[in-house]
Amino acid sequence: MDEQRGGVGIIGLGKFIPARALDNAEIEAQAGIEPGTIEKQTGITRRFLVDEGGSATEIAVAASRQALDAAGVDPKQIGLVLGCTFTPDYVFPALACDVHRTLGTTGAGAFDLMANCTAFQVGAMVASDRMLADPSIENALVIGTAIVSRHIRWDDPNSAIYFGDGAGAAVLGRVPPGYGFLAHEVSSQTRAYESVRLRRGTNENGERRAIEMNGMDVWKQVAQHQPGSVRRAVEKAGLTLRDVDFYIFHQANLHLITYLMSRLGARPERTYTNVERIGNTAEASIPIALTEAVEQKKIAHGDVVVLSGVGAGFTFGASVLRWYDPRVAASE
Amino acid sequence: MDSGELKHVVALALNVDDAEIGDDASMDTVEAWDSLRHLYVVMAVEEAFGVTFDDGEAVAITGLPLIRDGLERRGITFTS
Repeated sequence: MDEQRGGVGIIGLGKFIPARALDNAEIEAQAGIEPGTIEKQTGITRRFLVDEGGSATEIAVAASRQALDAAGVDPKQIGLVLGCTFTPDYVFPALACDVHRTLGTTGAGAFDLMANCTAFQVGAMVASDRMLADPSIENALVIGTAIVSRHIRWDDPNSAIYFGDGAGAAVLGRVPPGYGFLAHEVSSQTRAYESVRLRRGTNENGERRAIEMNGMDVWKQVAQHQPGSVRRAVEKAGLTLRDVDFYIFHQANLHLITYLMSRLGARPERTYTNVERIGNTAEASIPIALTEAVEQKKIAHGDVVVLSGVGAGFTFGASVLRWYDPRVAASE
Repeated sequence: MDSGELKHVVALALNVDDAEIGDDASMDTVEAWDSLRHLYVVMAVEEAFGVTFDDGEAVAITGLPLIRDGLERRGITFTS
């Protein structure tokens, strides 16, 4: 952070959750799972899916408009649009470019990045680093977008039980010194590269391939490496875990979040979960959870907040920020 | 310490009767001991015995003998 110029923080948030609900009972029937198993194993009760005609751009734009409104920022004031997704409408061009033309962010560069379920956190890191390096970028728009339902076989109990669709967006802007992002951390453990994957092409039956997932490997990776990722980010920020006021984790599984909080020595009320209500929304899960936590006033001006995720591959990321609420700051 | 106390902690975390947790109980032998319940086993043992396992070790202690070894390395001795 430049002590003269200040830092970069999140100044507006938005989300989009589709209307069509899919309850566990329907998946359990299709996947041949005993009723009640999904909630027991994951804490998830339902998820929401984008309709067949819906697009990644539509939901990304819906979340982005909300974030821009919350920030009080005009699309023309955005200098960077970053799409975080593995489910764009086209293989190329980038989802971010379609968002760019739809919103009219005419002064922005736009591109996508993929780090799967931790892509939003990685995107926030890239955007804030760009803003710190280039003072001409006053604001950035970072969007996590997931239409995972189009890549699921609902009769596959290993993957069907987790995912839902959604989008979450954040506007990054300049904040006073001491606020905003304090540190970021990204690391990869690639031994289990094949454990969660979506291969191109069709399977032996000529059907488009779906997500394949080894839940045991995911569990081992998260339990073994995600706490360390958080600790390193907090240390980079010059803080200790005791200084952290609130955690937002990728919403993969309620039990894993409970475990992570335990490993970090944090009380359960210092995190927010929505995986129970909307499932694992991949790249959208961190910004949606953050949006809801802020809406519910669980995060206050000055709080030290950690965003932490894990994506297939596996890539672990954590960002530490001191929350800046301009309304509170103005009244101080 | 009586190993029965450890078995009781593990049984509670797995939501099974103490009798299901034999000396060699593990994820391979106890049906309820799946990957996610294991997280609760680790949390319960850490809290009950006032210890902290390393992140990697916590993933690896998937059976009673391994948990017992981990506790003994932290100075907790078992009489039976």
